[in-house]
Amino acid sequence: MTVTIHYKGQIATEVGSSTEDLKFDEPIYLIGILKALSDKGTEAINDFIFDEKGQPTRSLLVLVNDEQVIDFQKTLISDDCVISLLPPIAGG
Amino acid sequence: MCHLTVATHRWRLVFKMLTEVDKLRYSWQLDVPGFGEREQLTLKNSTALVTRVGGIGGPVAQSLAAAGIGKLILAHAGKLREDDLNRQILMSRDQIGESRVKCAAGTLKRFNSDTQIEVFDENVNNVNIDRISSEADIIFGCAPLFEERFLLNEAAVKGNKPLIDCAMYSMEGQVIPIVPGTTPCLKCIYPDDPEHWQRKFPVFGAVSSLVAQIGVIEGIKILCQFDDPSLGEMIRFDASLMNVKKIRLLPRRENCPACN
Repeated sequence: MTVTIHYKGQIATEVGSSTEDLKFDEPIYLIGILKALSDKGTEAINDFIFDEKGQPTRSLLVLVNDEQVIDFQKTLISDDCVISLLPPIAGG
Repeated sequence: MCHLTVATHRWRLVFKMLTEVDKLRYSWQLDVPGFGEREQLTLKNSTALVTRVGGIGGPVAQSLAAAGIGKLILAHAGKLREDDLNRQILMSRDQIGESRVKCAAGTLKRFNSDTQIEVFDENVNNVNIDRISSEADIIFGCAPLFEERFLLNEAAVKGNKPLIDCAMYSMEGQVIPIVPGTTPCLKCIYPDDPEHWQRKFPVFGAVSSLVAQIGVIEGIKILCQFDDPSLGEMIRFDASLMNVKKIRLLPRRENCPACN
């Protein structure tokens, strides 16, 4: 199955792209996708997603099909889902 | 709603009626369905705090003045620099080295001399926040640092007044209308201090101005109880793709240190 990731804000700058398709063999929980992104990315990307205790950063807004979710452990991601990562921005 | 209580209270102190000049000046917006003399009167008798008056805050202040806000309180420290001028539209090149907020006030005063303007040549901090925000009926958060935005959030919650948080990064922008007690506050949305945010960010003036205009529209809707403000939502756009989305935010956090 294919999952589309939309990177926003500083994460997009760090990744060097605003979108990416990831392929998985079967439906996967959101936390697994976040870990996969962290594993394949730089340390800076990991720091945007996880805190020093390895927990998802609470100020990163994660959207699945444009709806905010916080229960990453129980949110099952299926084929064609779009996941958006929105770090906090404060440009004025 | 909470903000009306504040406005009504202020109206008892100094109540200004619409003049014939007002009715002529604002006649084009008075034709907007749902926006009439009652709403214009609310604007005229309202005070907005705008911090700061840079790429977002400058256009916010100008559009509020254009719409007929009664009073603007502007807070922004520092002097104008050459590299401010791609976005800080209330200032001009011949003013480099002068106080930003005083330059902005001068431009606004020439633009609408009926709008009262009070300036603070300082950025909001935990010492001056009460002094700067106490008179405002609505707050527009346009500062480049989360420390300031969280202080404005605390002031909004404490004073039971709406906060329009306006922010951008590169080609992206977002507006979060916050009404204490009704919507999640900024600390509900961002409970951890965003350690990665940096003071310097990529910015086109047109993008920050776009954020400002969305913020002003939402602020006027809340202040005047006009149309449907996007309460509990984040309005977010990506100018690279030219798409605009409304994101439904999660409810207020039960354990939020700021609003609960």
